[in-house]
Amino acid sequence: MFVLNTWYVAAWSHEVGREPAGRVICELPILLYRTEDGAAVALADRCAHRGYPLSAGTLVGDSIRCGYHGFAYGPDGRCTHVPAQPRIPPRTRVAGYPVVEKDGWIWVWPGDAELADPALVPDTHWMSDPAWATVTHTVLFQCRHELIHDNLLDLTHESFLHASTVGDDYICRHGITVEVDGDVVTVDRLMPGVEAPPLYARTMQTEGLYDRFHATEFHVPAYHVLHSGITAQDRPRTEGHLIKVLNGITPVDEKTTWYYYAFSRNFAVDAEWATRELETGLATVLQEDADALALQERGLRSRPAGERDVLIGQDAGVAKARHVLNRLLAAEAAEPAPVRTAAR
Amino acid sequence: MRLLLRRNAHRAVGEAIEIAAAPDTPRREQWQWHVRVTPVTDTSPAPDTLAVALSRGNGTVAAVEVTVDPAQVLAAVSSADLDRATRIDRTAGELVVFVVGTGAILVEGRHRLSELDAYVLAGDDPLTVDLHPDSAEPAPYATVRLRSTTPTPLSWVP
Repeated sequence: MFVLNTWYVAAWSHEVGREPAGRVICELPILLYRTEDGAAVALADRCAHRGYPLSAGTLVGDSIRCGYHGFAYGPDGRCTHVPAQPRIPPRTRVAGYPVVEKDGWIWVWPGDAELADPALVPDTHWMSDPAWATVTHTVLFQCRHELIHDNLLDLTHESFLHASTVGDDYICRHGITVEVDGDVVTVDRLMPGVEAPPLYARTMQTEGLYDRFHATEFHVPAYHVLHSGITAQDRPRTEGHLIKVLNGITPVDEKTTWYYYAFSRNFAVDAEWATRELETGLATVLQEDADALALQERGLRSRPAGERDVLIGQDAGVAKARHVLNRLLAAEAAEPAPVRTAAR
Repeated sequence: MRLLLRRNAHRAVGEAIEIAAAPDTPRREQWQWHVRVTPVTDTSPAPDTLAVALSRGNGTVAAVEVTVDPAQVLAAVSSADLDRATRIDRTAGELVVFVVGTGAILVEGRHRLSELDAYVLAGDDPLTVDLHPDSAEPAPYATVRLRSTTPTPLSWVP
């Protein structure tokens, strides 16, 4: 089950161009391409004629031409040409999906297009702000998307899974503040008077004791921004070496999830060596997460029915986020499914 | 642990809204307690339920009710108007829930709570929080204190 009435990251801007690209979001095959004037387009990736993937076709002007029998569709999903006859049957159209492109990400709304408000796309400006430097990665996780959300909301795992990079044994000893505000769940942890973790200490060029913090802000169900950093002791967070980790979590299906990752920093912004070191270190972090969650997915699939997680106090954010997710799913289940037609 | 629960995060239960409960995930652990804001009625509270009146922003009065499993939990509930800085202390085994009726209260100098926002304190950190009024009028609020009846300290059960 997936929440469909929300914005999901569908691709990086540079991944979508004048070649058709196929994606699957929440089990919906979606075709992405750009029109000749550069606008991003998202259509159902299935020809109305015989179900052939349109992403296997070719672009002709602003239209996509099916590679099987040549049916062509405009960016609004309406069929513009049927090679074998002059008449276009009225049902010959494919669903269009609302698209927003911002700060290097292309967001798609797979649910009811009437509800797709571009203002609901989260703030990601750090990726395009010259005062910040950004390292990016994309990883296909072999697990359900819920495991990634749990992972990001309970960062005590850093002490064990990421000991050589962003972890330290003190993390799980510090308490959390969990805030629930509508569909946003935030888990904030302050770690006063500690050393920066190895990867940060090297790239921030710091040593000694600092106040470290991380606050995961989960916009249920598809996006987390992690506000992290270190400051001099007892100083405001705004004065510190700051990190914004942007996490676009896009389900493919019930056991596979795309993880779009951007790590923006306000320190060593022009230092190529820092960028290289972070690219390598953060790739390690992500792979450690991907490997662990794939194992967890296997574990969960072999778990007897009725055996459930044992949550502890540190899981307060996890528990609250699950509530919000379940509420959103229940609300969509109570609504009649939208009739998908061509994009407006 | 602190839980800051905004008004729009609460769960509707009939005519009441549930502010906090343990377990927070039903059916996984044995039920212990819940705190709800309900309309004031002439009927007596349910057994094992304590209630206190709380002024709301629309000029009405609601009831803050705490219902517990008496075999596990001891409860106390009170209300007050915050017109000057004050401090809430608790022991490590005590769990505290407070709910704002109207106006605004600044908690620990950084969290501004408005009408029906709630704050839950559990575990061994923090044991003391400072409250400051943050609105022109005194801010009514209710405080619920929960303690274990057994040697095992009470904590929030997700």
